[in-house]
This record gives sequence, structure tokens and C-alpha cells, in this order.
Amino acid sequence: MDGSVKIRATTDMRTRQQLSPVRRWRGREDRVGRGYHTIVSHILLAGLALVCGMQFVSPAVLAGPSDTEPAALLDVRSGKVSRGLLAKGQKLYTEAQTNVDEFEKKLADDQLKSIRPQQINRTYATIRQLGRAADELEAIGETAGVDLRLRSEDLQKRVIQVIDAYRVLPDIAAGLSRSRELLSQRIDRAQAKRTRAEQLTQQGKYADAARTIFSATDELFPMAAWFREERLAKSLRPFDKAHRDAHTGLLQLRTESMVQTVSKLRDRETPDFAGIIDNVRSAADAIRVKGSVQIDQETLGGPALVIHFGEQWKQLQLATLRCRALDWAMGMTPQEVDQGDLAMSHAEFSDEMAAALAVLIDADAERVNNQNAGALYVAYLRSVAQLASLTGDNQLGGGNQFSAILQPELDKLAGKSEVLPNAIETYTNVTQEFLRWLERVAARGAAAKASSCPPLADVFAAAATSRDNQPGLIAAGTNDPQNIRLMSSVSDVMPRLASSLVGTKVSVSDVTGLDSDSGAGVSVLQGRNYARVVHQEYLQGAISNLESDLYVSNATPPLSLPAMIAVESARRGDMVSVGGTITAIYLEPLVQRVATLPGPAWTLIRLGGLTTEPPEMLPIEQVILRSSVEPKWLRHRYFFVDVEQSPSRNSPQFNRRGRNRF
Amino acid sequence: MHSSRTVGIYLTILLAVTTACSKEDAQQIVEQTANRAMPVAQQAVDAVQQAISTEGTINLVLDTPVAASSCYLSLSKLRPNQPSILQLTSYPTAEAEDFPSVYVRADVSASEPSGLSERSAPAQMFVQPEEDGPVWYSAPGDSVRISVQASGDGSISVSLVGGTLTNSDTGDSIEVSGEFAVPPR
Repeated sequence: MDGSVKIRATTDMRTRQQLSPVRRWRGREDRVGRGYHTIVSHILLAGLALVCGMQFVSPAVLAGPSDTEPAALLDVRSGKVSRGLLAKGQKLYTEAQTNVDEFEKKLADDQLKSIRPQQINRTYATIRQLGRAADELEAIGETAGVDLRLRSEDLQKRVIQVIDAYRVLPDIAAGLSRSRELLSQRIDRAQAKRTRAEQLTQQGKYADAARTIFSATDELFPMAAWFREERLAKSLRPFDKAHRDAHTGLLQLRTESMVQTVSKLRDRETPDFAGIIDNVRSAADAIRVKGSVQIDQETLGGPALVIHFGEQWKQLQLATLRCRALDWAMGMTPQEVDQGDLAMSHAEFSDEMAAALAVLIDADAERVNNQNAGALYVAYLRSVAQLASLTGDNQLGGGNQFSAILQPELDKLAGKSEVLPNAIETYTNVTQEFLRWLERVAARGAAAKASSCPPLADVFAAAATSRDNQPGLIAAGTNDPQNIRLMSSVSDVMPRLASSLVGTKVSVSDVTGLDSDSGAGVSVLQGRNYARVVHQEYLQGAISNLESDLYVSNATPPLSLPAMIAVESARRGDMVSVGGTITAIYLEPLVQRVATLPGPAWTLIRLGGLTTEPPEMLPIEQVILRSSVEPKWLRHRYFFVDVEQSPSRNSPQFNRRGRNRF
Repeated sequence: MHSSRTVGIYLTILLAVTTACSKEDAQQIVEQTANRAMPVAQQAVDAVQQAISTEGTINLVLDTPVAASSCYLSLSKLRPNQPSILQLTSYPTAEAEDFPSVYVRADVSASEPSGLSERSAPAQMFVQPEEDGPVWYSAPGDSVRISVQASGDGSISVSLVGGTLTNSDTGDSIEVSGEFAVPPR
């Protein structure tokens, strides 16, 4: 490696070493504030969240790297600064990439001399600017910066190879000699700029210092790349230091400004756990007395309140996820975040929420009379069922699942009716065993297909692991599919991932139907994977069969909680697992994705839980794979649909009992 | 195979009829609750559940013979003017399930076990010969048909008179035949 490369690498390395603990700037708000950034960032973040919300439902419009756009840049989190730097990075990258491609083509065609050395130097300067833009993005917690840095390092290696090939061409010795002389003159001339930059840095005027010294180093360092001379390297070292000091100062300003902005956003996003619990308890008190509560000019009874507070629960959980990501953006490790108040409060809240909803039902059960208990019971059953399947297997309070926590209160409510307990017992008797057998058949059907559709996380991990000296997203030999970090640029990794994954059969777990007309569902975030499936068109026949099997019609609702959960989860499109073919992949930065999760994204995680993160990972280096999966089979808890079979087998006219008598 | 002690526990006929609530009460419920609750209340009044548990036998022919040495029967009614629901199992409770395991559910007209008399009732059926093996089941549109006959001595015989079951793992279908025998209590 020649001297210039060493100088460049040294500059970057030292700068990053000084920057690495981004979190040390958090809380230092005595520096110059940038209020307008905060406002603009918030506005842009809100806009971005809105856009992401639409994208969450309809990902076809998503930007970012994908199998069809493998070289696209990763999206950024927020704000004018991030957007501006990303646009700048995009422009520099495109220009440098185009030029280096052309240089390499000329090299391959043995026509390198047709390119003027000044062109190569200008491209080298562009790559240096790209590296600095990447550093700035990284300093504000953007994974796009990590990717751009890797791209700039790759481009730099390639342009050095071009220079190395050029400098040994015959008949250019005289030209090189003139260039060396010219470089010496320019170094002398640039000393004044260096001195000025040093003064500005000392005064804390990093932006001015940076502008001053960068104009010099972007000229001198590419020229020096043509020579392997210690004398030149030595004379450039003061420039390297001035460059580094100014750049570091500038990056520190970026980080401080980001932390100020993100801290305010983080404060605003911080979930009011106690507030919602208080609201549920207050509602329970009111329900006990008068049976309804006035909220936003609407009169809500107990079952509607369960839905109302359930929606708040979803959004609070989303806010918790966003806050964790914002903490990561500010430099905290997942271990620090998850040992902090946020995760603790979330865990306590989830337990208290289940208990508070139980108190709400209990209050209604105390109040209601015999005549109204039946209607109220069914309404509660439906509300509770809608939430129960969203809590999955999470244990909330005393090691119990959500439905088990609320079942005693539902039983108490049913007990207020003189006739309902007997009806429920009979209904349970004729459906419980049937459901158990349906579940068994569905599980066997999916298991039979499992070998041809391995879990997406496993397939992704195999495709993303580094091999044959090609860096991937998982270090070779670590077998850590949760730790998906950029070790090579997205533009390098993505084509390999696309060729390995698109068209491959996989299975995904815990799919929740989206609250929209999309006909789609989204699997929970598992490790660094989630998937979108358009599957609801295949479900109608199976849902009709299930309803018929459970004696359910518009006039006759399910009378047990397991049966109601079965019906409600099927109608929403919740699947235990889905097998199918990957049709598209998208790479998303972890921090940006989680920090901007829109409202509908509550489906990414079961209520009452949080994603488990490797304690020592660097979140800014982490990415998530989103896949589109075309379903081949669907496993609901109580039915299995093979979509490749004749659709008529799942169609409603084929009622399992042969006639619908209920 | 279940012990006679276990069988004894389940030998009792369970007749759970709500007697505390008159039809007038039910009408009140119907009038005062939301539309969705009307059938709930009505269904509650008429829900009847009877169970006979006994050491019967089940002999089926699928791809191979399947024999179980217990057969438990229950008869339930969810709503008036609707068929009763007959359930046959090879086990007394899910917790005590043994293999081969069999489950059948069918709509029948009789309200009492002693009145069972069906020539060809559609039924849904599940058979799992081995615990870790495939389940043969009634796929949508493929219900089996059973004949049911109660005798004067209290015994009940059930015959499979036609139908196919589907293999949960392979999707293959097979004709099924066989007998269920429930001796007198």
C-alpha cells in the first residue's frame, strides 16, 4: 500500500476512534443548540413515519436496497441533516462509481493512457468527500453512513489499483516527475491554509476549519497517491493532523446536534405506562358504578374499553420499541438500554395491563344483572379474544398467559347469568375436543411441509454468512443469526443475498393479519427477519369451515374463549406459520426501521414482549431483512391450507359436516 | 385400555339441565340483551348434555386395522329444534388419551341415548393410530356416514357406512369402515 493510502486510512481510523463513544455527547446540552433542526427533524420524522406507515402496508413503494435495486442506499432515520447528507452521498457515490467503472474498463481494454491523471485525481477527491459524508451520517447514528463508508473504502481500493497500474505504464516517467515537482509546490502553497485551519479548529469553528483544510487535502492527497515516498508522506502528515482535527470537531458537532434532537424526540415518545394503567383503573371504577365511560365524546361500555385500551397498549409497545432504537441511535448499547428504566417499566406495565383489564371485567361482572350478563359476556369474549392472540405465548403476570389471566373474570361474568354457565359447558363439551383434533391435523400438515420450507431465519443466516473471503452480514463461524452487521457494503452483499434467497422456499412464523384491505399479513420480527405475505384470499373457505365446525353464525357466536380466539384470529388472518417462495427482499437499517415504526407495525412483535438483542452489538451496524413471501401453504392454529391444491377444497361450499344446520 | 376404576368414574350419566330458569326468564333475557345475545340466552336454556362412559370397543379398517378397547359416548344439545351432537371417543378425557386414538362427532336427531336411531348420519372423524404418526381425518367435503342404533338393553352400536378419510401428512385419501360398540351401562 502506498503512502497516500496510509495517510487516508490513518485519518479515518483516528477520527472514528475519537467518535466511537457517541453516547458521551449525550446530555451535554451546553453547546450551541440548533432549535430549527429539532423542529424540522420532528416534522420530517413525522412525515417519514407517515410514509413508512403506508409502506408498511404496501411495501412495493419502499425505497432502499432490494433484490431489484441492490445498489440503492439504505434509508435514513430523520431530518433535514440526514436527508441532505444522504443526497450528497448518493451524488458523490454515483459520480465516483461511474468514473471508477470507466477507469477499470479502460484498464481492462489496455487503454488506460486515454484517461488523464487529473481525471483520476478528481475521482479520488470525490471518493474522499464521499467518505467524509459517510462519517457525518455515521456520527448522527445513521447506518447508511456505515454502508457509504464501506462503499468509499471499496472505491478507494479500486482507484488505487488503477493508479498503481497507471504509474508503471511505459513513457510516463517524465510526467510523474513533473507531477512530483508540482505536488511539492502545492504543498508549500497550502501551508497557509493548513495554518488557518488549525487556528479555526482551536477556536471551535470546525465547519470553517473543515472547509479550509479539505480544499487542500482533497488536492494534495490524490496527487500523493502516485508516489511511494516517505519524504512526501512526512510533509503531508501535518495536513493529515489538521484534516483529522477539523473533521473530528465537525463530527462532534453533528453528534451533539443529533443527540439534542433525538433526546427531545425520545422524551416525547417515552411511553406513559402509569398513565394508561391509571386510566384503565379509573374506567373500571366508573364501569362498576354506571357501566360506561365517556371518552372523546363517545360512550364506551366495558368490551369497547378493552378494545380501546388494547389499541393504546399496541401503540405504547410501539413507542417502547421506538425509544429503544432512539437510545441506540444516541450510542447506547442494547445492554445499557435493556437494563434501564424503559425495559423494566415495559415489563411491569405488561403485567399490570393484563391485571387491570381483568379488574375492568370484574367490575362489570359485579355491576351487571342476570338479564344482561349474556350479551355482555359475548361482547367481552370477542374483545378479549382479539387481544389474546396478539399476546402469543407471552407470560404476563404470575407466569400466566393473557387469556388465562382474564378467564376467571369471564367465568365470573357468565356466572351472573343463571343459564349461561350451562350453555358454556355444553358448548365447550362439543367444541373443545374438536378444536384439539383440528389443531393436531394442522400441525401435522405443516410439519409434513417443513423440510421443503426451512425457516426464513435459517435460510437468511446461511446466505448472509461470510465465506470464501467474501464478507457477508454474519461473521463466519459465529453462527449468530441475530447479529447481522454490515461487514461489506450493501451493494456488495445484496446481489449475493438476492441470488441465494429470491425464489427459495421458506417458512415464517407468527403472522398477523394487517388491519387494512391489503389481504396481507406480516410475521413477527424474528432475529433480523420479518416477512410480508398476501394470504387472506386463500382463507375464506377454511374460515367458513371453522365457523361451521364451531357452530358459529351471525346469530350464534362462540361461547368459549378458545373458540372465540380461533374464529377471531382466523378472520384477522393470523397464522402460526406460512410456507412459500421468497419473491423479493429488502434490506433495512435496524435503527432507522425501528425508530420510525408506524402505527400498523404493532404486528411486528407480540404484546407484552420486546425483541431480544445481543447485549454488546453496535446497533448502527445492524440491518434487517424484509422479505415478500408468496404463500404455498398456511397454518392457522386450527386449520391448514395448501394453496397449491384445488382451491375448491377450501371453499365454503364444501362444508365439513356436509350441511350447515347451525 | 382404561382401568375399571377410571371407567367407573365416567359411568355416571350426566344430565345437566338448567331448571332454575324459566322460559319467561329467558324471554326477558332475549328482550333485554343485544341481538347477538338472543341466541346465547336461548341456547343456554336448552343446552343439555349427557355422557355415557363405558368400556366399549372400536374396530376400524383404514390402511391397516385400528382397534381401541374403550369407547366413550356423549350426547349434547345446544339449541331446541336442532339436531343433538353425538361424540364418540376412544378416551375419557384429553389428559387420559391413549393410542390409537379416535374421535367422531355427528349430528343426530335423538335427544336421549336410548332413542338413538340413525340410518346414515354425516359425521366428522379423526383417527390417529400412533402418537407420533399421521392423523386420518374428515377433510372438508369428505364427511363419513354412520348408522347408530340403541338397543333395548341399553347398548349402542355405531357402524361406519361409508366415507373417506384424508392423511394429514400426505393428503392421501382412504375408504374407512368399522364398528363402535357401547355396551349397556
